[in-house]
Formats: sequence, C-alpha cells, structure tokens
Amino acid sequence: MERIYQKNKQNFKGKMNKKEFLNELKEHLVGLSKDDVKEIIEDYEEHFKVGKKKKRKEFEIAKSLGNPKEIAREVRKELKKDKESSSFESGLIEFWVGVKKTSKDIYFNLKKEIPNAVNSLARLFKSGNKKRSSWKIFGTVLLNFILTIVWIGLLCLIFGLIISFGAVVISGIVTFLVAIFSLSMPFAGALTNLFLSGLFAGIGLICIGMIFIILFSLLFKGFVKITKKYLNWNKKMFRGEKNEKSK
Amino acid sequence: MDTQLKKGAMDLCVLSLLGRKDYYGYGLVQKISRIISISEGTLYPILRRLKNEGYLQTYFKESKEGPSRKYYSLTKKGKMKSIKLHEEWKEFTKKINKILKER
Repeated sequence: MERIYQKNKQNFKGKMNKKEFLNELKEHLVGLSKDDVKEIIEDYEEHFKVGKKKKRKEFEIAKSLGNPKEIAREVRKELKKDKESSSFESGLIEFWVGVKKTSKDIYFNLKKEIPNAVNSLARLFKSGNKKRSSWKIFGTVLLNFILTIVWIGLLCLIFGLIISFGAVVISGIVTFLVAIFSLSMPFAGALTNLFLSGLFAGIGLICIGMIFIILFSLLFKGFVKITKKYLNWNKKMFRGEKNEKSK
Repeated sequence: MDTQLKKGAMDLCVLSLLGRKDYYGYGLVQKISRIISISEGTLYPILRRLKNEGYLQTYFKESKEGPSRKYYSLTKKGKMKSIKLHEEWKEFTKKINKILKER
C-alpha cells in the first residue's frame, strides 16, 4: 500500500521519467490515427535519447518538454485549422482521459485493498487483540471498501436522476409540440381547452425537468468536491500511519 | 510574453533557422528554447504541421554518437514562405515601433 501512495506522490510532484511521460502523452493522443501517434511518440523518444547523451536526466528532459496534456492539445490544434472545434474536442478527450484514469485508480486500489483486507484480517486472528494498529488498518481498509461501493452507488443514483429528468424534459417538449400541432388541425375548435392545457403542461414539464437537472448537476459537483476532500484526508491518514511505523 | 504571439513568431524562427542549415529535432528545439522560454515539447507539433504543409522535409542521417537522427530541411516552398514571413515580420515590427515611438 505504501508503494502505491509513494508512487502517487511522485506523480503529484510532476517528476516523470521517460516511460511515464510517453505513456501519459500516448493516453492523451486518443483519437488520432495510429501512424500519427507512432510518429509523434518516436519524435519524443529521440528527444529523450539525444538529451540523455548530453548527460541530462530523464525527469529534467520531461520537465522542459512540458505537460503531456498540453502537448497533445497542441498536436490537435496544429492538425486542425478550425480551432474552436478542436478545443472542444480536446476538452472532451481530456475529460474522457480523466474519467479513464480515475476509474483505473479505483480499480487498482480495490485490487490492492481486497488482499490487504484479507491479510490484515488474517493477522488479526493470529495476533489476537493485542495489536491495536492492525485493527486500525483493518478498519480503514474496510471503511474504504464500503465507502467505495456506496460511492459507486451514489454516482449511479445521481446520473440516473439526471438522465430521468432529461427524459422529463423530452416528454415536455413532445407534449408541447403535439399540442401545437393539434391546435393547427381543422377539428381543433371543439377541443381547444384540452390542447391549451397540453401546451402549458408541456412548458411546465420542460421547466420542472430543467430545474431538477440543474439541481442534480450542482449535487454532482458537490459530490466530486467531497470525494476529492475525502481522498486527500485518506492520503494524510496513510502517510500519518507510515510515520508512526518509522518511529 | 504572450503565448499566442510567441507561437505565431515560432513558424518564422523555425523556417529561418532551417534556412541556414539542417537541424535534427533536439538541436533545433534547444537552439530556440535557449533564447525564448517555451515548453520544448510544443515545438514538435509545429514542426509536424510545417512538414504536413510542405514547408519542411525530413531525412535520417547517422550521428557520430550512435543511432540515426531525424533531420529537418527546408523545401523550395519553405524557402519562399520563409522569405515572405520575414518580410511580413519586418513590416509588422516597423509599424509597431512607429506606434510605440509616437508621443
């Protein structure tokens, strides 16, 4: 577990080696043709090779090359002259890469946490109740595990709610359109009241749907914020634990 | 310095450097980044675009210190573009200077 967190810490400092840099770049170049990606990666590989011959360290070279995300954005911009669409596309791709990375992190954490949980459980049974720290570790791991499941559930819930209110908006639009359409029909005179109420019902549905979508989007933002805070707290916990051990 | 302005000038820098002699990627990047502070990585996409537009061509040449390196050189079209951009740049800076000196 410590190793993972140390690795994460390294990434946060932005000290990447050649492999990490190229992998990150490759990840951000999603959507380009294979030949393009290959050529681009080769250019940077050569840059690293020559730089190393000049006695520069890998992380120095990576640092002066800049942020892979930015480079990928540049590549996309240079490939397409229509700047606005490409920046929108870049945004989408950056979002997608972010989602992919987060889910990967969650997956790997889960994969590490389960054996860890089993291990600490086994240790617990062996040592009896003497060791408090193993209880603490076990507790944190179990808490994390449960929270992850709850987290996924909540995420699905929020997404589901947003989508369902999207459906409400769509139904409102359809009602509205049908009401307008039927008002223009020849036999409308007899049923005007009904159609009018349909019209307003449509508008009402659209408004309600929109309001709830905005509400749930705000909720989603808050959710992301809380998740980030929790992750930070968690990191601190584990770091604290490490310090205790080294004492 | 404004990055947008820097990028526009970058085409001219690359083309006029290559007008004097051929460079391999690393050398060219170093030469420019030593004078103008720019993320070195962002120069490669510019080189790629200039190549795609037909201003540059690349070839591989063995280096003294090992594996072959990718060299960049100007095409005829690139030479003309370089001259044109240089003229434009001179005009532009002349006008800006004029405005800056006016009181």
